[in-house]
Amino acid sequence: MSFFTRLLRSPEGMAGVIILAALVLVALMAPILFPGDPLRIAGPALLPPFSDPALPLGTDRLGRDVLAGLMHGARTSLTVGIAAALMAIVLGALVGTAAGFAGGLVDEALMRVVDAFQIVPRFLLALAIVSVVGPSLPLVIAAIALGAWADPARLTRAQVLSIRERDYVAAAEVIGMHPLEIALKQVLPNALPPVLALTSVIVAAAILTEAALSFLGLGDPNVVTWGSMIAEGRNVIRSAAFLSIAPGLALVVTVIGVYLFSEALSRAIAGGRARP
Amino acid sequence: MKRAMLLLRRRAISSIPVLLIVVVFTFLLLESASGDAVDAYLVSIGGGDAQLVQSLRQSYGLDQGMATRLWLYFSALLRLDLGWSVAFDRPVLGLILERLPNTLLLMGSATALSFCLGSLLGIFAGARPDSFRDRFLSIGSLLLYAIPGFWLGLVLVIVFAVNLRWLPTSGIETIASGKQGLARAVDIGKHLILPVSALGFIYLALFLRVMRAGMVETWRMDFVLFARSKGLSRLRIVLRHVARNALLPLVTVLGLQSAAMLGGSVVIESVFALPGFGRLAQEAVNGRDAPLPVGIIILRAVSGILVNLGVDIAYAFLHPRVGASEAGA
Amino acid sequence: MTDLLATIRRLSVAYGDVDVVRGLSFDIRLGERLAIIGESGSGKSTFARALAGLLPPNASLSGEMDWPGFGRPPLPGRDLGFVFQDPGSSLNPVLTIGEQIAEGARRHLGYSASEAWHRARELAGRVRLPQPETILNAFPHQLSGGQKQRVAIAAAIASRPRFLIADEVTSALDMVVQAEIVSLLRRLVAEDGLTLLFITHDIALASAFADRIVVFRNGELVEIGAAKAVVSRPADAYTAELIAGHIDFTTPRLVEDMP
Repeated sequence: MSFFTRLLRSPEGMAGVIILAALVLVALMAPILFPGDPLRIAGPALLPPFSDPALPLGTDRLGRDVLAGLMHGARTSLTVGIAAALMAIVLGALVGTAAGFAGGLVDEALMRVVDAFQIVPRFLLALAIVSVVGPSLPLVIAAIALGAWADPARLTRAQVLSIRERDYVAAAEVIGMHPLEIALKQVLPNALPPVLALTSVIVAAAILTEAALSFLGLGDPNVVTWGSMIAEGRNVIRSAAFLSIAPGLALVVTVIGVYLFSEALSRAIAGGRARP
Repeated sequence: MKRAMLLLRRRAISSIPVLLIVVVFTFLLLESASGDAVDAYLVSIGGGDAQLVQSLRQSYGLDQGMATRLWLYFSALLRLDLGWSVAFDRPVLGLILERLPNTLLLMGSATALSFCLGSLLGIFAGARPDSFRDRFLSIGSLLLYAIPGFWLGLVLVIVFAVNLRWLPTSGIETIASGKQGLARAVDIGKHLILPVSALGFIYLALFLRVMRAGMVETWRMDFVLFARSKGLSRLRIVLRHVARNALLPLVTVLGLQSAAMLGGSVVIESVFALPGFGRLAQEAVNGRDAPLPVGIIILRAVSGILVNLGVDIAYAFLHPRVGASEAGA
Repeated sequence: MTDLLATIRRLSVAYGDVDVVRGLSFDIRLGERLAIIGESGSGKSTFARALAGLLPPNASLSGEMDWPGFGRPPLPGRDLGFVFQDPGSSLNPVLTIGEQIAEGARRHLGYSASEAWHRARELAGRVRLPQPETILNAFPHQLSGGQKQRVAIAAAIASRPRFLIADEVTSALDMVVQAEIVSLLRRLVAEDGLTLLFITHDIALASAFADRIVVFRNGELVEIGAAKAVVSRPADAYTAELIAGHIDFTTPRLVEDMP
């Protein structure tokens, strides 16, 4: 069964792929369908949805186009989610592998650092970093990644430690393979799958964290995000609840899509490597 | 008991370097901010002359080098002095302790809600894996997990406070109501229903999934087959054999989640305007007030370590084998 | 003739497309000690589980099982006890062994908690566990393999079933302990008048202990008869092979001594 067939086999996998594909499409098409700055005034303030075909979802308190905001917000969420997760996993995998291989004092020291990053609540950490250094998109990504790298590091290290003991690594050592080569070619490819299974959780959490940060006013003010839209909508919650609800629904759908897709992806990868 | 003490000691010892790292890191982080507490203060009072700036800096010890300040901070920590908050003009420890009970109340109730309800639903789902109710609960928990906490809070406010007017929209109690004793407790309770629900329902999903996964895993074990061969009632097998074993990883998750929940409480406290510890963190960071957020993070790290220790002890009690091998190792 | 516990006719068990047990037909006599011998994968355990109603949900069963000895299909625990091969995994690690022995009695004999505990205490003594008074509070990991198997046997008979199935119960234990467990089973079966079905790959054990022997091969019944007869004058070539393959002190050595 080919990789793609496996991916699409379950209804959840299919749903995940469709949702994610739709999101990516929206994110890519946003500047084309809604050119210009989505934060600019597009029409009269507080226009209700479905009343004006030019502004299908209405406008917010300042007269900004809601639909444009939603579409451009997809770009931010996906970018932050994927970038932060990537950073966290790469950093975690590197540290975890180093710790697992080095052993001894280096291992202990690195693990204490990992402990430190695990014990501080990741949202507080991201909050602190962003407020202190300044809200720009790359920084938000870094801040979220710093809160998330501890788990992949732990997991990678555990994997490396167990794989090191296995026979094929011993065989590689016996034939004189250089330790670095062993690390990269033998250990890492087998250590990674469970870590990659964490991806869905990390991406989903990253998207939600970014939304929470923007909600609190700590996101990049030059970019439109779903979180900031919800915060905006909060001001008129009694009269125009829709403004807060719509971006939230977008978040829910995105996270579900990400989660289903990653689950299907890891199952498809695992299926390809499974022994009969 | 001896097992537990040995475990405790080992964990406590290894926690010290962790704490050190946390302190140093947070201190360095705050150092990297452009401007310090005095600058923030000046912004809030609309500026001041150079002499004022100088004297302020001197009186708060902010004119000394970074290394000196870090050293001073450490020695103060050992005396349990968390420093002075410039923005609030009060000792940090007092400030934190004042706001702490509100957050503890919020988090404690939310944790209790999510753990109990989540485990029960998880047992319910895991009792018959792949049944209709299992699938229903799995999808439901996925949905809950995907919902941003602050958004759920807002939605709850819209539905219950704005539209139905059953519950208040914000705050921890009715301002200047003058209520005492039981009436006050009820008032606070009413104010907490929505925030606790918002915070609790999200984490409920996690406990549900972990419990359910644990149960599915345990069903495959041989001792369950043996229990079935003894013709025990299904209820007894589900509860005393399967769930009892599936409980163990849940306890670990409980420990981990309490850390995450503090982060979540920051946003919920913001949505519901609750005067809590989490919100203090946000205000503190905005005020560039170095000792305050550092103090908060340190306190959070300490409590996190304590919670983990608690989890380890609970685990040792729940699983007879745990700790025995560690003590002998 | 009248004293049959069970009659099995054309019993087949399959997992998906794979037939594990094919068309088995024989009787189990009341009060007998019946041994099933055969190689790994011959369907012995599957058959035993089919008898006990413990097959996994993806197994499909066909054929008939009548139970004149009970008048109805046997209920696990009440009518039938099962002891498994690996005592280490048969016991729940987080419950005391006292509880695990007592729970069958509570369920099927309607005992109160203290009555069940007494029964467990009594059984712990019968299976010759050390320090029966205090061992009930111990956890499985504190016991040796042999002791755990004694606990499993005690737990299986706690509710006074009349039929005991023992699936390779000595295979995971070392030789000295094996002999102890076998003599324990012998005693219990005699004292309580149980019908015993035991599965083993050890022919010597079967011939010493059983009244009758059934030989399985690839899920089919190859031979059945009185134990001594089957072992000394096997009717089937396969049975003869199995017996010949058995190694004991009379087997010629593979490597000769140096002259």
